[in-house]
Amino acid sequence: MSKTALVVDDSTTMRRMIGFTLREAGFEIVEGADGAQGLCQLDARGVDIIVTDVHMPVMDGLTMVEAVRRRPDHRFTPILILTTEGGEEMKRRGKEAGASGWIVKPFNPVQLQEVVCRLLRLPADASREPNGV
Amino acid sequence: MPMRETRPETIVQRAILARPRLVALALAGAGGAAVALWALYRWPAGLLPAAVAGIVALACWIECHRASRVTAQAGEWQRLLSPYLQDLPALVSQLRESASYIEGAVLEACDGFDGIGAKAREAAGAPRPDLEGEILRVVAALQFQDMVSQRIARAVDTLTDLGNDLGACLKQMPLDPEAQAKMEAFQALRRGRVGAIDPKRPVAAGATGATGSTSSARLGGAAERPPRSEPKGRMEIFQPEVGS
Repeated sequence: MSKTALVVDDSTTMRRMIGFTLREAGFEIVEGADGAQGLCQLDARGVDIIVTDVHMPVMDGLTMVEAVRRRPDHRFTPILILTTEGGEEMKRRGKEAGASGWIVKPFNPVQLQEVVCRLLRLPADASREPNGV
Repeated sequence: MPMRETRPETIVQRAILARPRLVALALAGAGGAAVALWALYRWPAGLLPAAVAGIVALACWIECHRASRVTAQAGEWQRLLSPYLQDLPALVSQLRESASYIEGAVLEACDGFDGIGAKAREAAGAPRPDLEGEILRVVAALQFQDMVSQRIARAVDTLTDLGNDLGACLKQMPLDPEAQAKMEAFQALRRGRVGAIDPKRPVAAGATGATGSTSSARLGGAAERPPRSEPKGRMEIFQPEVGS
């Protein structure tokens, strides 16, 4: 059974690109355009990993990460921040909020697949297997 | 400390402020008449009104000159800023259209790559890592759109705020009807600023520099591109032990 990734980004094109990259690695994708929509998606279905931007309207990524970590069933769900922000202060805030990893945009698709697999303790070449993840 | 607004209280004050040149002429005439009365009939009481009328007439003339200088400055500001105020709404609209056009093109490209990947898998009957790798490279290159959109959004915000502030400054000066119409057009544009692109996203200075250089490198030809090594600090895993 394939794993599900929740992609939260206010940019439609970025959601498509991240989704495309993870779909190639065998993931099923659910999307949210901001933190609030991401939380709604979490309510609706179970996800194995969350990939989120930081700067979004309605609810930003770090607030969403904190809200996710407050939920008992998602205390240990890997959350990867994918953002243009590369400053140490922002990374520290992300880590404090409960993020599991940080990637600065523009992302390298292969690197994204590898990081996601590492966070889920999957073999690094899982995406190259015939059945994917 | 709050500024105290001074308002003309009496009819005379209002008249002086509204028509200083006319009041000055009237007072100068009254002063001249008083001097003439004193000269002709040796009327001593005529000296005091003549002096008062002369002083007030002089003050009115000074006010006339000051007002005309302010009006001239306002006209000069209008002459300098009107072309920019005229161009700004069109420029902002064009930037928004460009961002929207690029977004549409990139989404179409993504649709196309989805189809290509599916067809390739169908045709081969199995995953094609080589083809998928190539598609991923192209899809990654399309990330320039997100960076460009963020910068356009920032430019649109800056231009809109600039136009708004200039409009507010000019609003305090006497404007001709044409400049007023341009200002109102810009106000309308500002009210409709939430358009095809997202202006809410602040771009950190450090991040802008980092992504900008990478983004422009990605826009270059693939053949000339040197082999890339991942810049330090672009990826970090905080809790590799955390898993579902």
